[in-house]
Amino acid sequence: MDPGFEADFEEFVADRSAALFRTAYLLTGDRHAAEDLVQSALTKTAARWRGLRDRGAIEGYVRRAMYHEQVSWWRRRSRVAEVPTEWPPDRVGGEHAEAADLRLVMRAALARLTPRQRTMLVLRYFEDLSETEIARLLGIRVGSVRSQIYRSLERLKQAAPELNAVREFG
Amino acid sequence: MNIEDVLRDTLADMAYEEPPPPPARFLRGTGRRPWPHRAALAAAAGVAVLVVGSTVTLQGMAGRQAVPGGPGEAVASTEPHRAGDRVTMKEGLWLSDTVQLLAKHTGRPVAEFARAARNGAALGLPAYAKGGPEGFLFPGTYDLSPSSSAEEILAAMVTRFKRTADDIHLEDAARRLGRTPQEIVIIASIIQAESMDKQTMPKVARVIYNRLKRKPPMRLQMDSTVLYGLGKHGIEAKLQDLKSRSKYNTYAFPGLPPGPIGNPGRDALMAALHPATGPWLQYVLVDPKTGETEFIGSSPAEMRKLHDLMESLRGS
Repeated sequence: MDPGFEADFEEFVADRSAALFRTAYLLTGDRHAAEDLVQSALTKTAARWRGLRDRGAIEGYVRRAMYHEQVSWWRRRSRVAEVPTEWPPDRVGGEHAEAADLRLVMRAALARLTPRQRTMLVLRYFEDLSETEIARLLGIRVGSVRSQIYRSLERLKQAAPELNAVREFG
Repeated sequence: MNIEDVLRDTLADMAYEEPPPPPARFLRGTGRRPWPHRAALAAAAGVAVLVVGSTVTLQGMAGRQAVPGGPGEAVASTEPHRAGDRVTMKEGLWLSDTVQLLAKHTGRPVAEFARAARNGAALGLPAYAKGGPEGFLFPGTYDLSPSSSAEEILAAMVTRFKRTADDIHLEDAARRLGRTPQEIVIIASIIQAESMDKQTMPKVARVIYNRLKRKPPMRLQMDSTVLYGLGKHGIEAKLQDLKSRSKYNTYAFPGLPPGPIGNPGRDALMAALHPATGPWLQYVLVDPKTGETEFIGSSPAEMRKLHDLMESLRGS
């Protein structure tokens, strides 16, 4: 293998794997799954590395591979009604849920989204991408990004009624 | 505070709760070389693992022993949890069961998986596995992509084994115990098969080490190894079984069996590396329902205790 390529790749992985892992962890909610996702995306990128002339674009490629892989589960799994969750949403909460409790409730609710819904929310609210950027990344229309994010937020509220206490969403 | 802010905060919290693995992990495929071999690379791509959170099956013992009873019952209990193309491999599952299950879930012929299992090098097995995948197909929940090959699926399971081995410093800890990494996996596989729950594992480990260290050497006399050699599932070997001439018959041959007798999970590997302290040389399963196990040493008083225990069990 081209030694220059190997060195570049190692440098990229050394620099960026922690950040990639964090995103992957949010996408999957599971440590093993996150590692698999990163590994898989890096693999796909490595296979095309030489074809990628702009090395600055590498991260974009890896991330796209991650999002697509995660979302593609959704396509095949659209009938899966619910992703099992380790925290039933009713475990915490109550009328006077504090901020920390709300986050626990939110986690439980997140675990109930489909991978696609979850990916949308991670891109929007963790990566802080705009709806246009998300649309380009996933190859779908802006309008459908918008409606899916809206529906995902609604689903969160449905899964965790405690979140309805924070009404003024919009 | 609106729901979007809660979401932002939650995601930011979560992103930092799991420490990222060292970058080298993503570069390490098959050991020495920093660059993974093609097959190991392909492996990670072939099988993506979903989102199962804590449902990754981590009950402390092999499915087949969880349900005491006849062979029919025992076989049924090795059925994995199934949802769509997701499959959970329980701790202690044999290679032969694994291959069958994968064939069933993917709809591909068993022979395809059997062939892939024979090609150890392509699976990215550690060198100390000596080419055999038994013991190195890590239990857990896997999502099988319809496009992944038999080789990729098995390689993904090996990849998880290697990650776990990394996490628990298997090779260093083995060296400190004066054992090879392969011996540790063999011991862990026996612990997995013999233990009713996670708590008893370190004690079972101690019994194995105490027997191995004894002078004159004491045979392991573990039914699980004998049954494995005969390809029989169950808990108790029959008198007839003990006459088996298989190298896995630890009643007949001293020392460890020639290879792992199933695929141990993390708890069993940890127990093999960190046995409890104690003089025990044997144990008796007092109650198969609760998994209550009595550990017994070699002093005359202990032997009397064993005798009484056996009597009371026989009486009940």
